[in-house]
Amino acid sequence: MIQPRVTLHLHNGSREYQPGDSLTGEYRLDVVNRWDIRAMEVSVLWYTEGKGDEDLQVHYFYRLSADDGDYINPFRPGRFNTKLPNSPLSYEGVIVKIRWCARVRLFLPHGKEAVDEAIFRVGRIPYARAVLP
Amino acid sequence: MDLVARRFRFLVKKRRNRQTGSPQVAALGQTVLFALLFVVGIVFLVAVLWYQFLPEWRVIRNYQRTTCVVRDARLGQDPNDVDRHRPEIQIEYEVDGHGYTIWTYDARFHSGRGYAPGSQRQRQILDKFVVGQEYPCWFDPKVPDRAILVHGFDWTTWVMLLLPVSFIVIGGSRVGYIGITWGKSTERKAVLVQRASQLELFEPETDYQDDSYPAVPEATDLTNSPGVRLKYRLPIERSPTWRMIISGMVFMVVTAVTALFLDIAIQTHVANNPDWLLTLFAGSWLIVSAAALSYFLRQIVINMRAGLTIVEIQSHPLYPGRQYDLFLSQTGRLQLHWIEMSLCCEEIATYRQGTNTRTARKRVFWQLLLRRENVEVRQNTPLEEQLSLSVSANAMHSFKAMHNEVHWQLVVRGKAEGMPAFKRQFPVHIYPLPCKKAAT
Amino acid sequence: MSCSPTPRFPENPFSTRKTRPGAIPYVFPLGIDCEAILTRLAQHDWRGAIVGPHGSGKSALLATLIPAIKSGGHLVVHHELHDGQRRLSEKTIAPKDDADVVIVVDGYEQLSRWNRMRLQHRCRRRHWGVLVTSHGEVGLPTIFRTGTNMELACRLVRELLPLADKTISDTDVSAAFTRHEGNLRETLFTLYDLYESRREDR
Repeated sequence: MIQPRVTLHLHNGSREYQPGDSLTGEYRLDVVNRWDIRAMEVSVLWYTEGKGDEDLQVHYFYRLSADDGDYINPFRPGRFNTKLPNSPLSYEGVIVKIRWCARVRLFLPHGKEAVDEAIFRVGRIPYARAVLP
Repeated sequence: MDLVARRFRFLVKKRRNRQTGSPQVAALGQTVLFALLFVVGIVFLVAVLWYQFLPEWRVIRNYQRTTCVVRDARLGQDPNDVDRHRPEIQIEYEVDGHGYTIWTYDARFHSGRGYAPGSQRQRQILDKFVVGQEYPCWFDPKVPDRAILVHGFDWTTWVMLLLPVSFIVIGGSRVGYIGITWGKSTERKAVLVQRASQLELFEPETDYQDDSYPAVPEATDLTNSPGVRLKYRLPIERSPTWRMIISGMVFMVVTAVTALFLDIAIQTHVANNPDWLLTLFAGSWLIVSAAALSYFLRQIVINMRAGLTIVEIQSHPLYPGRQYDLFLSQTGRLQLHWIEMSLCCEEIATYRQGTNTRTARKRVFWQLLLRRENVEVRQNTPLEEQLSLSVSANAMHSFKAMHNEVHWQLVVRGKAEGMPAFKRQFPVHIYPLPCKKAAT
Repeated sequence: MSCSPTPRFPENPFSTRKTRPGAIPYVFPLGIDCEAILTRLAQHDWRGAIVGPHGSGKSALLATLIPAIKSGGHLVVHHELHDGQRRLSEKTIAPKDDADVVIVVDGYEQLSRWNRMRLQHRCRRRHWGVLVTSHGEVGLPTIFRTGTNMELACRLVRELLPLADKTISDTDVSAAFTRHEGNLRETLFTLYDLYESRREDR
């Protein structure tokens, strides 16, 4: 049996954006039966990575749920569009990193999920290096 | 000084959840603290003078000398405490043809005091007086039936004087110092009012669509103290004055405890019933008290000599690719080997390690802005420097989340003759360029 | 900060996101698996403790056991105690109904003796299970002891590193593991710094 999949694609091939830019993208569902999809969420968020515990903030969120009567068409690609905020900018630090990503998540029967995400960059902050005290 | 403002919340002005530390209010807090020390010293001194010095002073000033004959001697017991005794001598003397027979000993006798723990010492005193023998005595001419056999100060009285005197000296000197510098702050207020109208207005960025900056610390937390030379005075992070205040409080507590044990130990010696274990214990506390005093005085010296470090800035928040005027002022009485100011950026990551929480810090940027060597700073002639700060166009903006932070600060470090190196940190916020500007 | 070419979102395999409990599946010793531990727990009336030294994987094991407990039809109420938290929040300790409940406490020793007694008493009275982690015996049956060794550390690091990534060697792992006296958490933190300092794209 083919497992349902989802693929996410950002329209900006370079995946580099500036604050205030429009982030547009689309997602395609690869499912056999639309009744396989219980819900779908699209989100644009930033999260931290590094040595510290993860911080995360969702900038854009969109959910469709079959239980709520929403119609999820698996044969037609979905689109999303959001304006990126002023901050935070993507940052490649030493022990603190800030990453932006767009994520689409499919909720399937029996608690299963299918996820795809695309990491993109906001701003042009160069790598940070440790400096001796 | 700023720590007083930050720690004693009722003294400070607050912006949301941030205490900003007005130097004037902080100075008031300091004054209150040292004034308390001064007052405690005064109260203690008054008590010592009233109960120890005043009776003796009256004797020295008013009493007249005559001769008496000892008729009897006994050990008097404190009616409130059966373990406390005093020597009581019955004497017979004449004043203006009238004979008097009274029980007496020293200046505290007739006010119902003079009791001490134990009885051995008191018995030794009694043994010095032979019944039937003549001795000098002193009587009050206004109340002739009041006379004493012995008077004068012993060494314990002088020791008891030292403690309140130290409180008064420390508290009083600091209150005086603050009073002197407070006067300058008042003048500075007048200058602020005069100059406020002359300060350049910050040109706000009006050509971007959204002026919110998620995950970037609020700039207003650092801009509610106006400067004298430039628009804003930056608050200090982790003021060194806290160490002085804490050490002062510790010294007070330790000294109070020491005084208590010392007094009891001395009394046992005076009563000729020395408690050596207690004396040893009190002696160890005396050493601790001396160490606490030494450390406290050292902190006072450092704070008084190092004085205030003031950093003012032309505009805030900062933006990448721009230049800003800075003003640095260092007060005190210092012979500085060197002093420097730098711009630093640190990454701060908080993580849970099992059941503990730990914080890692990593410096990722450091730029020297100013360095001066062999500089003398005098009491009325602070070191003042105007300098410029250029923020790199590639600088990462300030960032603050629950567990992770990108933290910028101006750091002033210096080393002076006869004192350890000092370091003062002034946080600043760098904002990302507004949307439209960032795109060009 | 100096200019660099456009980064390609490289990841440090030892970042907290990759190494936190639950991110790495717990590596069981030979002959032991999740089911075996849950069987032991059931044999002790669903009352037990996971005991082990600092950084030996107690929280990681809990993260593996909890989904299995849930899939067995139990309601799990999970508490993580940190930094001297001496009591559990009353709101979270009590499920709304008398469902088949297992109270999980990570950092059981943080609780005061009184609060431990209260918890035990409540769990007995309501017939709830209780599963805790601790560094030593805490009066509950020890259902598993966690431990670490060099081989486990090297294996974990190889799983974390991308294929063909030679930035961290077994020698590095061994040095860090020895320095931290078997504390895997500290070892991984040290390897984070080492990896970061050796990255070629910096």
